[in-house]
Amino acid sequence: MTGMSTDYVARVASATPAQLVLINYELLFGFLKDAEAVDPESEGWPDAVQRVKGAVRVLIDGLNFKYDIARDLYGIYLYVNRLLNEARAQRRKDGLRDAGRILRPLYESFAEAERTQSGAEPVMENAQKIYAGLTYSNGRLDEYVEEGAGRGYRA
Amino acid sequence: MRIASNIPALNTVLSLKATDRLLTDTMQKLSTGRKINSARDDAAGLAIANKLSMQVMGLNRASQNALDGVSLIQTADGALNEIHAMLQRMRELAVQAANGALLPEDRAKIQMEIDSLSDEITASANKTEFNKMKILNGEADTVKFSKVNTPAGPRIGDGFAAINYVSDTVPPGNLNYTIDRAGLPASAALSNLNSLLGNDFVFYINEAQVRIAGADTLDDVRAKLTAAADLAAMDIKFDAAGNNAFIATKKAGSAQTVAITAGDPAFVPIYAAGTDAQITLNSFDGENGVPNANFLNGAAVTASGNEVTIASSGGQVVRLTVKVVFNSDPGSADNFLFGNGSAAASPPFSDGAPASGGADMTAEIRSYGAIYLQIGPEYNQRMSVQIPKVTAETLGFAEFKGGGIVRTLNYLSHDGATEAVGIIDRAIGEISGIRARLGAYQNRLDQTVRSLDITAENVERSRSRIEDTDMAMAMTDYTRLNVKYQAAIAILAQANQRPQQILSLLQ
Repeated sequence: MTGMSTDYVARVASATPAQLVLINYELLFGFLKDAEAVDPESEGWPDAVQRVKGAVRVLIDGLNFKYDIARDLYGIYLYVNRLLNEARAQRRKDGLRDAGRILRPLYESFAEAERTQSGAEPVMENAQKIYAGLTYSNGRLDEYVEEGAGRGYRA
Repeated sequence: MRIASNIPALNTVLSLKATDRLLTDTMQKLSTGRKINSARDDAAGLAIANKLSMQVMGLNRASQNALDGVSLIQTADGALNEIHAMLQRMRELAVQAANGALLPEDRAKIQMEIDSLSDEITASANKTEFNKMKILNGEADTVKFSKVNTPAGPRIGDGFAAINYVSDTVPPGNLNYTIDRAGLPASAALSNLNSLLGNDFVFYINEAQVRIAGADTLDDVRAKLTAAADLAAMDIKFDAAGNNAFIATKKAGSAQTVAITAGDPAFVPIYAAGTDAQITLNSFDGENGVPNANFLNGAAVTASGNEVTIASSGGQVVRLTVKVVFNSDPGSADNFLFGNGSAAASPPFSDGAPASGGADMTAEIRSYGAIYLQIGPEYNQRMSVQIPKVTAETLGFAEFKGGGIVRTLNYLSHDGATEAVGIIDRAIGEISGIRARLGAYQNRLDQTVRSLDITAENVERSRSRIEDTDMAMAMTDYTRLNVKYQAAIAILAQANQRPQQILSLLQ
């Protein structure tokens, strides 16, 4: 998981609101995959499932109930939360699979929505601007960080 | 570049229409809870789902039928419990009456209670019903016919012999037998009663004392004889002039005796014993007409009076009662006739012995007539519940005499009371046997209900998997389509996370 972290930090820094949602979902799927690899009878099981629940929690926190569709999403997230709770308590992997099965179509529809709605500004202001591009070397993707190592804090 | 048709707009409209249709379909699945709402959705799935639905309905109904069966059996068992209690009381009274220290009046009171218990048993059997169906009077038992084979063809043979009891292991079929002779009561004639007048004379009819006083008229003598006959459990008949009497024990059999004795040595005692019925087993044909030699192989026939028990070597039992009636005209050639009453009936029989050959009888034991419980969803998944008749007659303490059923338990005499103990013990044994069989039925039905319920649940689950919407997936589908339909709104609705929250997930 640690290898993933640096990628994600960079992405989060320059993500639009829609892209943050996608990152949220991707983290969730990553945690699901990690949990699938854990033996349900082992001691690490509750924590593994808890991480997945954490990601669902952030999805719920991101809902704005001014819009009706938020209610539908909320219902689904609550159901997924219940599946995860049952999986954790009963030490069974079925709940994880069902959760993935339910959330994947939503992720895909958000990905499509993000594509059609591109043009938003990144959420984090004053963050490092990260440019990625091919330099004149062979097939290397270098990251060049500009000066101004702000992390989104105003102070 | 084409400008006449707005292709991009058309494409968008088509896409929107497609999404709209999908939204409507998904909405229908969400609201009906079914993912197959018509054959259009999934024809094969619908066909399978319908078949499974029917199966579930059948299973549920069968389970209910089995429960109804349990109620029926419990009703019968409740009544049999009451009958059992009455029999226990009768037995207790028998032991009491067999005690020599009792006076005739005491015994008479006991007899009254016995008679009333005996009648109550029969009444109970005849009125116990379940859902307006009588269950202890033989209507819940497999059908049995008693037939007599006359030269003119088979006729109803109940007047000659009745089938009282068939154990449930007896295979269905025709038991062909011949009544060689009926059992007869012990009997004696008392002629010229006039000769008793004018003297003080004491004599005994079995244990019953008859005390003639010198001043007694013929009427008085007849009255005293009648009273004594009652005490001794005998029938007495007088001829038209009233001068001759004929007495007979109420029951037939070699165990029945008449002893007319007196202290006066000049009096010649009269001793007589009854006879037992005699039958010959001829053949046993299965219901399909094929002879079944096994049944008769080594079968034992025992007769106690007119009660004939045929026990096969395999423990199967058939009990018949040969019917005998006391002729209304004593002094005629035939004192006893077969139960059909008329000596002129074909074939003619008299005094218990057939005029020529024997009475050719068939006891037909059918496989149908019992109650069938449909305890499965398919044809031919049924269970037969057989509950025999449990009246005083079938239990062995009432007999057909003359035109009706007569109670035959006699507690007025010591011998009668002792004999009664044996009869009641056997009746109690039979009731216990019937209750044991009902218990087995009930266990089987309980087991059936359990397994039907489990099967119904499993089939219902299968049907549900095919036909019912997975609500979570349907909801996801619906929401996914909406997100696609209203992309901007969807993002506004969901994309309100703070980056710090996402970053905290990475800790």
